[in-house]
Amino acid sequence: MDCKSESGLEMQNVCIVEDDDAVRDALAELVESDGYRVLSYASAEEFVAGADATQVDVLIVDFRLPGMSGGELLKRLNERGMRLPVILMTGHADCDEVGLGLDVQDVSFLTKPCDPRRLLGLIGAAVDGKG
Amino acid sequence: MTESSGVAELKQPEHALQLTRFSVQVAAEAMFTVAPDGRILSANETACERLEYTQDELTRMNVADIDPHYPVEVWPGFLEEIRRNRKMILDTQHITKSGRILEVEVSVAYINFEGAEFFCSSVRDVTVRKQTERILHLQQNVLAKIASAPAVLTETLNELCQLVEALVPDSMATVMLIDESDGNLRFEAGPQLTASICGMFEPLQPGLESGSCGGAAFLKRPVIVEDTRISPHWRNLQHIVEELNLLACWSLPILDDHDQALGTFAVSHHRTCAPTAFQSQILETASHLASLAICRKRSERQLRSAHEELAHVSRLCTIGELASSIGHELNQPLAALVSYAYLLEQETQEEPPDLPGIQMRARKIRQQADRAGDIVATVRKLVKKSAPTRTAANLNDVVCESLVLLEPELRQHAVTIDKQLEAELPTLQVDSVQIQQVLVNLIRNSVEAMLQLPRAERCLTIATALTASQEIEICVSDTGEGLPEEGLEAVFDAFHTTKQEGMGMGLTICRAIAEAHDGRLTAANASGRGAVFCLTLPHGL
Repeated sequence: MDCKSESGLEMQNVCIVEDDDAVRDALAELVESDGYRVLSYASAEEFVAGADATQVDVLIVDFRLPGMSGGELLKRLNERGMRLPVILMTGHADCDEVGLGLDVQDVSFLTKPCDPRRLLGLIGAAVDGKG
Repeated sequence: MTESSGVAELKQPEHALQLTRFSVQVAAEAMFTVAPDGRILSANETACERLEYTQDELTRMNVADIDPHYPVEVWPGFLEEIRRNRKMILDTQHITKSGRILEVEVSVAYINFEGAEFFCSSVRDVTVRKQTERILHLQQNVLAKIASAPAVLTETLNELCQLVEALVPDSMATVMLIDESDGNLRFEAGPQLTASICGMFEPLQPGLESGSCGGAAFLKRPVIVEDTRISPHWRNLQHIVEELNLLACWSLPILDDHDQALGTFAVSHHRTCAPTAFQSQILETASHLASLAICRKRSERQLRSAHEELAHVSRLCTIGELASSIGHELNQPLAALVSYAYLLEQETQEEPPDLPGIQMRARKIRQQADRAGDIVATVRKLVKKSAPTRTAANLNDVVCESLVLLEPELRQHAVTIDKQLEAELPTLQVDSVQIQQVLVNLIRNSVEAMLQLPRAERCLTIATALTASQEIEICVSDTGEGLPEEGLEAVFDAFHTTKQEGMGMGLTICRAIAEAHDGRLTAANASGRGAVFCLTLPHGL
C-alpha cells in the first residue's frame, strides 16, 4: 500500500469496512473531502484479505457486518497484536454487545447516523494521537 | 248332524264372502279390483270418498284417469311385471275429482281366478308422510348448506325460498333482514324479487302498520294475513297491494337465540288464502333454518374478526421483534444522508459552485430519503390495522417485499438467500399484508432453525412454483436440523413454541390465514436436511 501522495506530502490512510453500498460511498466521500486517502471494503473478510493493517492510520468499521462482525474483526486484530485507532459505528441496540473483549483496543464509538463533523473530528484526533 | 253340518258348510262360504265383501267395503284403506287393461272393476267406500267420485263413476273409469303415472300404454308392460312378481308396492299419486293431488302407496296383488286375471290393490294415503319427508329433506338440504359454511348467506336463503315455493304452490317466498345500521328491514333473498318490488317496500320500519313482515319483526310472532285488502297491517300499503295484486302474505319472524328479531320469512300469494297445517309447519321450519343460517354467518364473521385481531397483534409482535433490525436498516440511509448533506453544504460554499457535482449530491440524497421512506412504508403497512382487503398481487412481489423487511436480520445472521421464483406466476386475489405476514413468519423461523450452524452453512431457499394441479406454491426451506418426524403437525398447534419468547401462535395464525385464502400451509422435512414449509394457494383465487 502506497502511503505517500504524489505531491510528496504524507497522506493518512483511512479504511472503511461497511457492507451498505450507500453508507460506504457517503463515508468515503466525506472522509476524502477532509484530505484523507480512503480504502473501502464491503466486509471484514475482504479487509483481512486485502488490507495491510500496518499501513492503516484509522479504521472505521461497522459493528454489524454479514459474516465476520465488526467486533470479531477487532478481536482478531487484537489477537494479532495489531493496535490501531478504530472508530466503531454502531446502532443503538448494539451497545451492550460491543464492549466485550475490546477494552485493549483504542476504540471510539459512534452511533449511526452520526454527525459528520464528529466523525471527522474523531479521525483527526486519532491521527494526531497516533502521530 | 251330517245334514245340518252340510247346510252349515254351504252357508259358511256365503257368510264368509259376505263378510269379506263388507269388510272390503268399509275398510279404512281404499281398495280396488282392476282389470289387466287398467279398467276399474270395483272400488270400496273409502276409495270413493277419497277420490270424490261415486262408485258408478269409478267403475266406468280406468286407473290411468286417477293416476297420471300409469297411462294406458304402460299397462301391458306392467301386467308382465306383476305376473312375474305377484305382489308389488308402488309409490305414486292419485288425483281427486276436484284436482287435489294425493300421495299414495299402492299394494297390488295379482290374482288369477279361474283363468281370468285381476289386480287387487289397496291404496294408502301417505300425503302427510310424504310432506313430512319433504320438510325433513328441505331441512337436511339447508342444514347441510349451513354446515358447509355458506359462501354467501343470500345464496343459502334464496335456496330456502325456492324449496318453500316448491312446497307451497303459487307462492312467492322472501327473506327480509334487519339492517343493524338503521333497524329497518331490507330484502335479503327471494327468487322472484325484482328491483321494483324491493323499491316499493324498502326501507321497511318494523311496526304494526308495516305489512306482514313489519308486523312480524315488530311483534316477534307470526303475522298471517289471509286478505291484505282488509288487514290493519296493510292499511297504509294498499297501493302496493293493488299494484302487485298481493292478496295474502304470511310472515314469520326470524329470531336468534336471545329472541331478538333478525328479520322475517314471508310467503305471499296473488289470491287470498290461509296456510294449511302443513304449510304453517313449512314456514316455521323455514324461519328456523333461516335463523340458523344467519346466526352461523354472524358467528363466522365474529370469528373472522377475532382472527383478524389476532393476526394484527401478531404482526405488531413481529414488528416489535424486528424493531432493532428495522431501526438499523433505517439508520443506513440516514447515515448516508447526513454525510451527503454535510458535503452538499460544503460544496455550495465553494466559489464557483460545482453545479453538476451539487446536482449529483442532491440526487443521492433523494435516493437515500426514498430508501428510508420505503422502509417506513413497509413497516406501516404491516402495523396498520385495516379490514382485510384482497387485491390482485403477484406472489413473487410479496416474496421480495418480505425479504426487504427481513434483509437486515438475514444479513446480521449471515443467512444466504436462494431465490427461485417462477417467472410465469399468475396474479391472485389475496390480502398481500397477510400473505407477507405468513412469509415473514416462515422466513424468521427458518433463520432461527439455522442459528446453531456455522455461518457458511446457513442457506434459506424461497421458491415459488405453479404446481401440476394449477396451484401456486411458495416454499421456504432451510438447512437446519429439521422437524421431529412425529411432530410435523404439532408445530401448527396454538402455544406450541421452541422459543424463549413468543407465544407460539405464529404458525397457528399463518395456517388460519392460508385457510382463509382457501389454501394450505404444510410442514415437512426436506429430503437432504432441514425443514420445508409450503404455502399453497388455489389458482382461481
